[in-house]
Amino acid sequence: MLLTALACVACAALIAYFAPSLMTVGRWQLLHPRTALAAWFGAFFLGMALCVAALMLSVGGAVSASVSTPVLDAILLTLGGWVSLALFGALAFFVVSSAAPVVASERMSSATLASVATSREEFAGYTLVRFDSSDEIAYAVPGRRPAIFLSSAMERALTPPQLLAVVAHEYAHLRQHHGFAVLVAKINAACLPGLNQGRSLNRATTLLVELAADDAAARQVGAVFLANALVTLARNSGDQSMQLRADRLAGKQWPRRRGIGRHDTERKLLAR
Amino acid sequence: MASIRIRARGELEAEVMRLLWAESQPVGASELAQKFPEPQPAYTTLMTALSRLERKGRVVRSGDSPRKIRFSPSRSDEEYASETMMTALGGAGDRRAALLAFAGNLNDEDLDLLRANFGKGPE
Repeated sequence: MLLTALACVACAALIAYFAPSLMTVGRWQLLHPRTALAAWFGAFFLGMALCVAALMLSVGGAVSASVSTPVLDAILLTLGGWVSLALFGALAFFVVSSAAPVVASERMSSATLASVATSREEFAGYTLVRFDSSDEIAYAVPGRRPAIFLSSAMERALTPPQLLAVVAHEYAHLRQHHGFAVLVAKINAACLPGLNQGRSLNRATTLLVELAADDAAARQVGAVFLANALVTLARNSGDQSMQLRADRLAGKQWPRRRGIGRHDTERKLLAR
Repeated sequence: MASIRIRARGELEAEVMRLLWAESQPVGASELAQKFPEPQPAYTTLMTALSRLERKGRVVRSGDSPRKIRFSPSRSDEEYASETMMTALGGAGDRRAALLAFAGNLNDEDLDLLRANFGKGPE
């Protein structure tokens, strides 16, 4: 039983060691960000499942040791069980202490941002909150009551279809649970300080959630509107990342769009 | 026995700011107290709140004699809201987990990766 547990830990270590290299071969992850995100988190949760299996096997082995078990085996099984529990306790403590500031920050920012809204409009799956600002800002706040925040400057800078594409990008973050993915990657990085494994997942997640949300918005509203919105905002702000995201959209093949304005949400936003 | 309503911490200051923003002219403490819904705060309580807001830079005091002291907000509610928003957004990197912003999340390594694969650069 102890050997099986050790084998599980070895497999988890192999996944953690090789996954970052395998995932970043070529540019497939940039062309298919959602698949890449699923692969990264599939590897992460597989590694976690193997660690949990190793814990259960080692504790089970320690509990099942009886009088008839040879002395050396009994000592090893008991020791393995206690070591596993100690490691699990240390990990649990680290996860909780790493998660606490992130969760507290989420509550604080949601409360602060909700208090400065100039208007709120309910749509299916989220609340659209507008606020006054001379900066072009849009972002999604996940949670029990998900919201998309849009600044007045952002609304002024873009045409209605471009604005719709920005909202679709933010809505994709909410629908695809990107907030949870970013949170898990951040806590994982905090638990593995200085290790490439933690940093790789965190970095990949930050990039891939943006590209996956771009793809979802391009399919929903039309790549041309999102690309034009990105180019306009890149020009106004000097943020080169948006120009590069637009270049990426322009280089991909997109299915023919059936025309925007069919959904209630789209009609309401386009009517502005 | 009449019930006493206890305001939550910071609630009085928030109400003072709301009432001051609704006024087009500077107002005195007594006049401001009249504008409160029941129960109206005591004059001294209101003066304490106004002095605290003045120290925070949110209220400006004017008038040359104690009887003529008037108060007005230092910034409009829109300006204040915008400033609060920017403070909330400009805080710690941890906030990225909570706020999924449309721009500003990618670092230099991400940009290099995108540039190497798709970059045409600005025209």
